[in-house]
Amino acid sequence: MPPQEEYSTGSRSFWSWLATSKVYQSVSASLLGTKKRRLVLLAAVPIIWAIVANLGPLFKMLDISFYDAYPLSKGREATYTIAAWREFFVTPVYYIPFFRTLIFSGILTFATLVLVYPVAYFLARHVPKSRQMLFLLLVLIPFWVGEIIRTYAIMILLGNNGAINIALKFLGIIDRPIPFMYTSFSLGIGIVYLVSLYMLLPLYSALEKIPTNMNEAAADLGAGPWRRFWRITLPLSKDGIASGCVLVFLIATGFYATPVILGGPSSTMFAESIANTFNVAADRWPTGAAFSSIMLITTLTLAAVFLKIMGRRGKGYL
Amino acid sequence: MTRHTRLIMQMVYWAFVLYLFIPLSLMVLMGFKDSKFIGFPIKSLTLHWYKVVIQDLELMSVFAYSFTIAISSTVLAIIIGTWAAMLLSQAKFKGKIIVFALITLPAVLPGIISAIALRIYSQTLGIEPGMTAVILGHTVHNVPFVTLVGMARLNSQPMSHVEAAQDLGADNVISFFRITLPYLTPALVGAGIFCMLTSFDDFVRSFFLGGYEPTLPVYIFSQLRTGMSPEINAISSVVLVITAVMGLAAERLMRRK
Amino acid sequence: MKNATVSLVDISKKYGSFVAVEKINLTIQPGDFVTLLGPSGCGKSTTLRILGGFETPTTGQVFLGDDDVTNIPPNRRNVNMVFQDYALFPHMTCGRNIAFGLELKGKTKAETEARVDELLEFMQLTGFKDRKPEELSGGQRQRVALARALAPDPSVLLLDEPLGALDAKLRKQVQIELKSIQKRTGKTFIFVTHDQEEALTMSDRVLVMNKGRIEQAGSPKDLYSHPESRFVAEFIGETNMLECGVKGIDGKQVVLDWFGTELRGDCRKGSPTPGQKVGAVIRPENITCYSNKPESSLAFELNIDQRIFKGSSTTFEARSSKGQSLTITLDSIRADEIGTEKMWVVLKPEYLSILLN
Repeated sequence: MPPQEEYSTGSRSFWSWLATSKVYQSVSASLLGTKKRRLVLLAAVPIIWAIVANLGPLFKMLDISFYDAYPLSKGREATYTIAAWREFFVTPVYYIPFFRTLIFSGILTFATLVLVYPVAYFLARHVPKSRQMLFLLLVLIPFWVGEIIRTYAIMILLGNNGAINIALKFLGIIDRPIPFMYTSFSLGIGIVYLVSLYMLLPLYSALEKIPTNMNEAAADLGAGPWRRFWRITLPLSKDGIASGCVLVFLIATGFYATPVILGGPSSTMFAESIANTFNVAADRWPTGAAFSSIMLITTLTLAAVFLKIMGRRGKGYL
Repeated sequence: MTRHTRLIMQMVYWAFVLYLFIPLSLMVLMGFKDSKFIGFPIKSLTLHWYKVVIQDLELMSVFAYSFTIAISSTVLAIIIGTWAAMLLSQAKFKGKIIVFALITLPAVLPGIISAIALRIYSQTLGIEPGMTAVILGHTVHNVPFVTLVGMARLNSQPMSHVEAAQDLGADNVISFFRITLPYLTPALVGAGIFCMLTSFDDFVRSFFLGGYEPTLPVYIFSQLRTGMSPEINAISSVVLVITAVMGLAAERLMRRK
Repeated sequence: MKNATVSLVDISKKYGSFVAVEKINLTIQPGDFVTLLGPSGCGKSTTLRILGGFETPTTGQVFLGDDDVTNIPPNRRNVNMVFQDYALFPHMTCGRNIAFGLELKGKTKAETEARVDELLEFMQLTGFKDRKPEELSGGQRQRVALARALAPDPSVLLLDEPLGALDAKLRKQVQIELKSIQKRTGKTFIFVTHDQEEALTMSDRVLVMNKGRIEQAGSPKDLYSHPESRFVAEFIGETNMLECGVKGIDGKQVVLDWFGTELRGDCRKGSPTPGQKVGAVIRPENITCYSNKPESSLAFELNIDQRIFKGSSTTFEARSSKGQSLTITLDSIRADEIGTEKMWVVLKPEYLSILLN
């Protein structure tokens, strides 16, 4: 529409130069000319990324799980088979760690909820608004440190010459160290240590949103403290509980290094079973792929069922 | 709630804080212990292990390697994540929920599954285990976080700012770079720092996607399998301090109005 | 840039089943100060956004001069907008804000600087060039927004309730300023507001909108004294709405019956038929009052219910035993001549507008 203007000569800012350069104008007009083109340009990269980088690996994994062998030696074609999937269901060495992982993660999720709920409640309802950030930061900082370092820190705490054993010995409760390490106990302590943040944040934000006058109104109507908690606070923080539990459960099932370091032979997790199929140089990738697929499908289904039970619709996960 | 329950909750909070800090504090403390043996009792303190760490050339190269990966994957994640945030918060189209779910999918995948799937995928694409594969793996993991932070920030930007820029002659690209990007910057810097920390700390993806050169957590893991050593405490303590400082800085930037 | 005639032809805008704007036809002459006035949700902002290019009409065309700009995006339309929240770019100084549009028009650094300085001076903002928007008062921000929109020399300036964020006192002052800026620049201003007083004070022409349609267009005086619909009559100024029946037509005048009193008036829109129920509108200050019975066949007597002194004027609430009631405003000096109990009034035909709808 604007008439073709003659631009006067003289130094211009970069943007001025860009906006009036013939090349840019024609590129802009052809790429951004219509609403549809703008949407395509905006959507292309994220959608291609989501499909190629997020969905691609999962579908490829599912695909490989039906191969008879992978990686393939040169010139060899794969044939499709369900052997890798069958292997899971007939081998106790595989399905026992699988169910152990699910049950263990479930128990830990519940334990984390019970531990963290009072913390979140205290933060959201009893700390003055102006100081909440400070109190929250105090518990956030340890979570910024990586999985390996924090797992190592737990090792130091629970070792035979670790702080707890030394303290107990000093108090005269025990004479020889309790072997905490390499048991389900040490693993549980470690995983709760790693995941509690993912419970704390959703709970905190759910509890923080409950208006204070809600409780006051209930108190006014004669509801005692416990009744108020069961009838008002707990139902209103349901969304936070649901998100927190799902996140913690999914993350807990996915740990590999922590069980290897803190766990023992009786607490082998499924992640180790999966990893072992890749560690050896044999063509066991389809088995690993099948195991991962089984775990993915199971955990996501359990999470979805749990969210459904908790009355959350499937919109978003957080 | 009664005073009684309130007191209990306060105690639970502080017990939780202790639970979080005692293991890390012990770890730092052991790094100063004047003995190769990790555990009590402590007889005297030393800076010896820090000197050993600084002089360890292999460790320094592991550090540099991890750092390169963190920077590269963060830059990629910021570009893709911001792009996705722009799409999800500014455009109207059918199936937005599905696109949102797809983009943020890696955030809810159990770590081992994400690592295995990426390992298989990179193999089928012909990307050998090594730096490229690790960078891409970390990028996949970080994009959802950048997207969520970016969306939150964009939702607080008045629509009229972009409209005003367009009204004054800016096309969508110019208005993005001159108006929206400056508005997003503090949030993106904060998100970027967290992405770097996540990448720097990531074990499971680095372990499965990495080749012979380990990132720092993979290096520490392999050291741990041969036993504890005060050197690991010293490295970990350094990482702990850097992490805390960077995390606090990022937190400030992301919450700034 | 030369001013151009703005025309909207058969513009409609629908959001799903909701009709925001319905079949608007409108021509705005260059150099006019035109106001779109109406309650919230009447479609005035949508109309303005269609003019600015932020919305594409569902049907119809927008012309700027002879060019059809219906599908031209805002960045390639020679029209600028002052936003309700000013939309100043928070990370740029005032100077950079004003320069923004100039740079994108390809102006050199020297030209840009000169124009920015010129506008800052014009807006009495000299010295604020390097300040950030957050360091300015509401009124100053509003002037920066105006300067920024004027800088690229648009053929039309759109203003979307730009005074809404100012306090009442400042608002009055800015109204006068804005009118004088419009006069001095000679630009076409299209202004949107829900404040009728604002519209009457500043505009050359006011378009009253309701439910997506233009109810009436005209000069402020025209709208005020000759509303063509009940909506316009009641939306603008204070008014007496008299429910009457039509007795007959006498030449150009319509003869009405109001609770047994005969009234006469003009009907400018439509033709009433005897027996029809109509509304007759008369402004409180257009009612002629007497302390004693005057020489007029149209005079009737009322009892004074209330007398409210408002400084320069005095308002009466008066009613008759038949059920008639009127609000009357008089100069306070004239009001002193009226007794405390009763008054005689005449509703002169030239002040009485008859509305069929």
